[in-house]
Amino acid sequence: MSRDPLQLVLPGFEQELADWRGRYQAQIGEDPVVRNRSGIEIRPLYTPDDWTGNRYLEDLGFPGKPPFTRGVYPTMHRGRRWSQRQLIGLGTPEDYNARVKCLLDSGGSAISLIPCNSVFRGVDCDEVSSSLLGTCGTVVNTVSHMDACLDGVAIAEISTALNDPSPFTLFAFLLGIAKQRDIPWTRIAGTSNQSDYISHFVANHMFYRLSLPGSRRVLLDHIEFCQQQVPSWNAVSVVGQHMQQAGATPAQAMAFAICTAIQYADDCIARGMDAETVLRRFTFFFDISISFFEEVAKFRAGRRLWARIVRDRFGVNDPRAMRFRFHAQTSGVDLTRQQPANNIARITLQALAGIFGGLQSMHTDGYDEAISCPTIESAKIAMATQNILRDEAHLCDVIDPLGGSYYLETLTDQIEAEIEDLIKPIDAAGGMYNAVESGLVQGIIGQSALAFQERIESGRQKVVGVNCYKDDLEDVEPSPYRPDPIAMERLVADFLRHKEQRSKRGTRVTLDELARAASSKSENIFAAVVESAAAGATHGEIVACLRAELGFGDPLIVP
Amino acid sequence: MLSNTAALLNRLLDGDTAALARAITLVDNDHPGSAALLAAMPDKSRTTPVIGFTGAPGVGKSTLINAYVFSCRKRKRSVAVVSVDPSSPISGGAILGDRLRMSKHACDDGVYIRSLAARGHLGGLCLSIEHVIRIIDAAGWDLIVLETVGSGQSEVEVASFADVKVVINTPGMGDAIQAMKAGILEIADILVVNKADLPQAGQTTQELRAMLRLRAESASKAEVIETVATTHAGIDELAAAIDRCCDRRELAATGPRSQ
Amino acid sequence: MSASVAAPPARVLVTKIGLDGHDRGSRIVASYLRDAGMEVIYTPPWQSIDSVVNMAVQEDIEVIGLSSLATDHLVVPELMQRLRSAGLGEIGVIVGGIVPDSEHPMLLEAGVSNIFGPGATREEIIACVADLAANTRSVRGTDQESD
Repeated sequence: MSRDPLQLVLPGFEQELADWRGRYQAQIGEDPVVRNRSGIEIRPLYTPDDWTGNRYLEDLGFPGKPPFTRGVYPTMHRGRRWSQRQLIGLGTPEDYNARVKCLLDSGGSAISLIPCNSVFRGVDCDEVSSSLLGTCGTVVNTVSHMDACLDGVAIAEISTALNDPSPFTLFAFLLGIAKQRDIPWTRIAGTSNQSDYISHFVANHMFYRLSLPGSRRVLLDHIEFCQQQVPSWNAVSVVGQHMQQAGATPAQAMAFAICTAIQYADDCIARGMDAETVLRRFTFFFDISISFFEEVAKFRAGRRLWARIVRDRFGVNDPRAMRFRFHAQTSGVDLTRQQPANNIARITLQALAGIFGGLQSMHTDGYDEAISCPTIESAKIAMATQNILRDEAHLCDVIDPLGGSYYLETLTDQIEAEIEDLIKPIDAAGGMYNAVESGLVQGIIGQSALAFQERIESGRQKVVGVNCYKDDLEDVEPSPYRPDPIAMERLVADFLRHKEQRSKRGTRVTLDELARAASSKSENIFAAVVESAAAGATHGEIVACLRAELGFGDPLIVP
Repeated sequence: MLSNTAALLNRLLDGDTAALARAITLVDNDHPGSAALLAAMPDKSRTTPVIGFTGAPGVGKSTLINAYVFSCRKRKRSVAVVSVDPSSPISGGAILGDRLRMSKHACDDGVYIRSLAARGHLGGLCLSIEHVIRIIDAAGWDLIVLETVGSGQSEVEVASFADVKVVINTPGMGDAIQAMKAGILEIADILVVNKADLPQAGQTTQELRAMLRLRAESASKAEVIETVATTHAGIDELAAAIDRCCDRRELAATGPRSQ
Repeated sequence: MSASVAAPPARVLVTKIGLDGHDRGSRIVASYLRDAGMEVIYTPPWQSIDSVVNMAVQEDIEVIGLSSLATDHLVVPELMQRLRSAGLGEIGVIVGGIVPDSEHPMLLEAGVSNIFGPGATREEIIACVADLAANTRSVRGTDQESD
């Protein structure tokens, strides 16, 4: 970063700066070093001495053009507001349908569905204790479950994010109902959210589905299938959120996400796919913590770095392939169980950081996030928060409003440098896949998680209501969400009936085909998943079939 | 309870897993009652083969053992796995994480898994390992698997206690193989190249075979086996090679290895 | 450090039953216990009641620490019952994570010794586990004083 001879441009500047420093030192008393979560030192004042903007075009540019620091589109939120895409996952498909309709009426502009933990585990609803079903995700095991989830929802007109990694059965179910509703797949838009299997192995969500190499193969098949048949669908969603939730610092989360994206792009290219086409459909998914400026800087740095990486590592110059598009979720890690109403303030601040950070799509948590999945009341407040930021605070009016702040631009540069440093050991390890297989990434994250916990326990990092401003009064704890047990029993009974009444032979044939595709070297596994789903195969059956061929996904936990 | 050493021993000899587990605890902790227990144990030569698996961190040792256990179970052989992890030199505590790769066996009565900490003992195993093996031998398991970390010359203790020494490598270890030549690889009965689906696997296998040819004639019967532990590829070959080693030592007929 | 010095390390099983897969908390607690000189058998999440009981037997576990988010704690009473049936009623069991206040009594009545929510300190957890381990040993007669 070059610096102007400020003394010439701003006569008297150095003198005034020195004078302020003197007065500051004289009056501040104790002034311990302050560091943000990524470990970068934060100083009390930033001036043109730190950042001058003399490299505006190289470092910032204009929205919609490389380096994209100020935004991936020319009009950003003023032209098109961010998608208000609340994550919904609870109970039965009917419960989901009711909630999604309510939120779409309350300001929601896009859909997100998260399935029950049993689905993440790769099993059907008849394979687990029913008290565990539907508590933090919707039970979706068949095409007809997906149909009920999206009953009365115009899937050809609204973007749908499905939080479902390999082998993407939920997306197969969505394609199934599109066929049933006579909607061509070319009209289906959305994202395979969390399709990033590497992040799951690191942050321990879904690895009980398929082995690491098996997941790698299925993702590539999925990307190819979508390119050919569902061109408006983002098959790749690289999840920095998992890393950060597991304890990675913001810089680490961004670094690991970028490394993962590089790995996936490399894998696609190794398979013979065209880099530019593939990269155009890469998306990212991040956590937004309450470390406000750090988060804004993280996103701006990520945007700029990714554009450069696409150009320099992959030789792609089409701006559409260089755009760092991301969905973000306010971070549950910062929310507290104690004095839960305080979380509304936290979520608002996190959302603000995301908006200033230039996200394309956002989920805001319910204030009861630390207790259970959101009740309708907290879900509506979460949606209202976005509406208020948009319509009352007018946050869509100005693109990158913090751009040009001496602090923010300095921090953006510093986080970018930190991210680049973090990428180096991953490169040295042979890429993200190898780094995760060897446990390198898990070790780094584990250390950060421990350090974070120590800062909170020691009180160095304050959390209102937890280690300071504690209340002696008993918190009136909001009642946790619990699915209706009778509805769950009915769901399981209906599911068993479905298995009885479907064409067993038809299902069997497609599952055999799926097994055959998986054991072959070059057939598209995901295409076979789609066929099986359409023939009535269940999520659990599809996963079991693929596990037998591709191996069980054992966790890569590094203790 | 404890004063009832005889009852514990009887249950142990009867195949009671809880008694086996308790007996191991007593000897591992050098409990006052453990001497009596050991003294009361039948005085017989060990008949259960001990297969030692060792290898540097990251080679997929636990995943490989997990796959090997599956293979044993397919052939209806019961397996007791003893995994030793290092203890923290500062606190003396330990995180024993070997079950992270073996959870599929947690409900199989034909598999016993015991995680032990080295407790400062150098060599790759723990101080009590000889007693632990003796106890498991008395409890009637078909096979004992010893798992230890082995990344250098100090971790050769497994040689003293295992009838078959399996040393696990991964492709691209290159210089590491040279460095380990004088230590672990010298004791190996079977050299495994795990993650054999990686491009450099063939080269690593060749390097290891070349290295074996340089060894003394008596040691040169060692085999090199390629595996992909995550998909169980090569595991049946590994199991067969282990069986061949066991047969060569005529374990069933003769006595314990470590006398 | 030889095994014959004072009390040998406590053997603690840190695990998760039910369906949730997040283990950031249990990894941190495992580190705490290790740093306090204990031996922690650490498992992947998504264990079943059967597997936890089997592990408790095979590893001669003295204390079980369960990490629970979502409603996974609802299966803990059944685990407690099965531990007792297996003759392991002396094992101390603690639950850490998110358990709504209204559901604490159910767990405590089932025999869970302590429930640690967010805000629990390292010292509290270590002290509790150490006490429970000592108690288990005393009941079993496996403390170094017994013979």
